[in-house]
Amino acid sequence: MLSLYEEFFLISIDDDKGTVSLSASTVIAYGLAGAILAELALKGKLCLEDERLKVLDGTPTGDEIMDEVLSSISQSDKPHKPIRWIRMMSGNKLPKRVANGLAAKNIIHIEQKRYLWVIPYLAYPMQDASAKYWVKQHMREMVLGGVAPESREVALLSLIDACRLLNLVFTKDERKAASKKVEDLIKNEPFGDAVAKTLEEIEMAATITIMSP
Amino acid sequence: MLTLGEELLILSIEDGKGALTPFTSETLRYGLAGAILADLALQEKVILEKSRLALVDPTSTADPILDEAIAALAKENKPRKVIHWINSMGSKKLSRKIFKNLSEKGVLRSEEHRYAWVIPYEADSLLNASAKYWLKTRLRKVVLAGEEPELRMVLLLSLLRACRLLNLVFTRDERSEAGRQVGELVKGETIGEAVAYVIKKIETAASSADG
Repeated sequence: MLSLYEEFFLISIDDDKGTVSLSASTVIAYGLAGAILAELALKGKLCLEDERLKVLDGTPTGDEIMDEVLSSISQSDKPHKPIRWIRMMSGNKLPKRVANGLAAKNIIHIEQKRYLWVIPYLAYPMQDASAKYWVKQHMREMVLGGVAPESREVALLSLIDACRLLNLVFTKDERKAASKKVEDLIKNEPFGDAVAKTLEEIEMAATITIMSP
Repeated sequence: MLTLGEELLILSIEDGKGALTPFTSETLRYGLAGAILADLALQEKVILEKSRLALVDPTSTADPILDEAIAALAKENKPRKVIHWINSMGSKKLSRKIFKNLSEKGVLRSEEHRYAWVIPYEADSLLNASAKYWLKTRLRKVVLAGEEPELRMVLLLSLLRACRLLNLVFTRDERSEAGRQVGELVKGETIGEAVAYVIKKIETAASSADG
């Protein structure tokens, strides 16, 4: 099972270049940080109090990166808003760390700084497809195929949308209608406060990053 | 059952707009003409002799547009080249005719000058999805997930490639790798090559007229 931040990372890889897509490069660290917080909140580890994140359940998740974040939040002197955590987490090293984790799980290969797919992805061994193909296929099923949405996947769509990366999942002819549908899915998803606030703040942070020269 | 021309047109429709995706308009009609020829070949109505098409079975198909093409082929005394037929059939009206067929088949519904998907498309399907979604999913499986393709799907990919419309199926980050894969799959496919040739000719003529 991949975590949300891993799925977000897979979507942002350019198959041809084996690097992070150009359009994703400025926002990837924010997207990853947002995915980590969103997933912790979805798992009931975090809650929102006075617009600030608080640890609700500090037991480890088993994921190294998420557990580090969880312990920093629980050891923090005072609670912070999600955006503050996002900024603290989203250093240059985060994407590389996520990539190394995926390589250790044998989802991608790293060869001379290029990310290459390990095919087939073991979760679905019947077909010769990369993990990215499956992540995208799930997004496409929900948005275009009318498959019932899962909170987790809607959170991922929301992050992808906030980072303006829907064009890595949908083709031009689908984009406008897909983006409307994504908005509807997000609006109708009964996210808890902590998830909703994190998603909202990632949207703002990403917008500022994209708009600034 | 849809014809290849119907499938090609379905892929060219913009979701939400109910009309053709703007960038398809330059090349689509030649692709549609190629799709008619490819369908006739699949149904063994015509055979290819070198680069010429010979009508071998003039009996009617279930499709009015294919039947029109058969009638046109039957009028010729000797087989003419594939590129001749692509030029002569590739009219602007072709897409409108195919739109009409698609509404009659219950794939599209026309609504005040635009088309909307009839959802769900597949009668036995559990998903609330359009015909376009199903078609793209199949093409993506063949190219990105290594699924064994049917001949029809290879022909459709070949036509999309000839019309430079593979970006209707693949996102930007997938495009060159998918393009290479498709190139391998369709190598030597005559009708797609003829469509690409006709489009190239027309573009060269247009650019020298401009210059």
